[in-house]
Amino acid sequence: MERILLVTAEPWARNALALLRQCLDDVEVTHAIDGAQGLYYMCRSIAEGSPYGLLVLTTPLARIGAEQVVASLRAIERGLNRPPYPCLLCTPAAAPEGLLATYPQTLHLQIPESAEAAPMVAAAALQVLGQLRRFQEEVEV
Amino acid sequence: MKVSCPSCSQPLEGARSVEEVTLEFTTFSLCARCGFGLDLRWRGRGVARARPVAQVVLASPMEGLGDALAPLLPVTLESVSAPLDALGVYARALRQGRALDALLLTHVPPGLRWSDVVLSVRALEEGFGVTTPAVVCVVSSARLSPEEHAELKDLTRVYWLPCAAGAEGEGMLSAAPQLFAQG
Repeated sequence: MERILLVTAEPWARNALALLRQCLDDVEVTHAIDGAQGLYYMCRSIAEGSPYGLLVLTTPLARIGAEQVVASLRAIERGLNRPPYPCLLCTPAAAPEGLLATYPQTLHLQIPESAEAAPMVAAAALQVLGQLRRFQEEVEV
Repeated sequence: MKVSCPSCSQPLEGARSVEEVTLEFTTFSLCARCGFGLDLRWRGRGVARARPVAQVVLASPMEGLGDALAPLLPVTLESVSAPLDALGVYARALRQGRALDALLLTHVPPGLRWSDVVLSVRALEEGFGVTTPAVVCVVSSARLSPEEHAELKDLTRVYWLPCAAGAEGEGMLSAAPQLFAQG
């Protein structure tokens, strides 16, 4: 079972959720509407020992910005001696400078400021999940 | 300390019990129970030590403030330079079964808001099921925007102690012991 946490306040969030659920049978998608709620869900999953396989964030977010959520998560991982959880940061602007150097395992996707972003975010999330699965299979072999 | 699987806590095969180790690993370790892979090369920074669980974390870039403050407090203090690093210390304490008593802050780096830090701490606590949130004590000369002030006001157990510019260290040395004297 794949688990995705989508943190977005965009009105097209339902479309993205529906697309993800349609494309993958074995996917559980949780939706958080602001940064603090997203970080809460992520921390709860870590505490329960079943962390989300992918964290997808869009901007802007209320109550902790998207980059700060990633920064907080990376700090928590360092404290717990964990490798970084994969994150996909989706923004209408270009990738923040030095994003990967600052926050490892964080990909960036430039999206339009319209409902057309929903399929782009869903497709990118699926692609990242696919790559992670393939990597996991290679490691297991 | 034992090097354990970060996913299920089982000690990793081949890992030795060590007191202190410089992290310059080039191996990829797999947990034998759950298959979780840990690329130890990524962790190759700093030093891992077996150390007591922190009860209070001081996040301040001020050199020597932690050393000066530690003898004044009746609890174990750990110092970090950046506020978000305190989250890591807090998460580690929670993993070891203990919530922090307090988080002491003096500065935030540019681009980070005070409310971001406090909200992150509260999100971490809620996620880990902490029932009594840690006291967050800020000694700062910063001026908050009305929005940020309102956000902080809504949060419980947050104490904002204003001070003159450059007096954050003195302010913390004075305020933190009082925090514990009051219980």
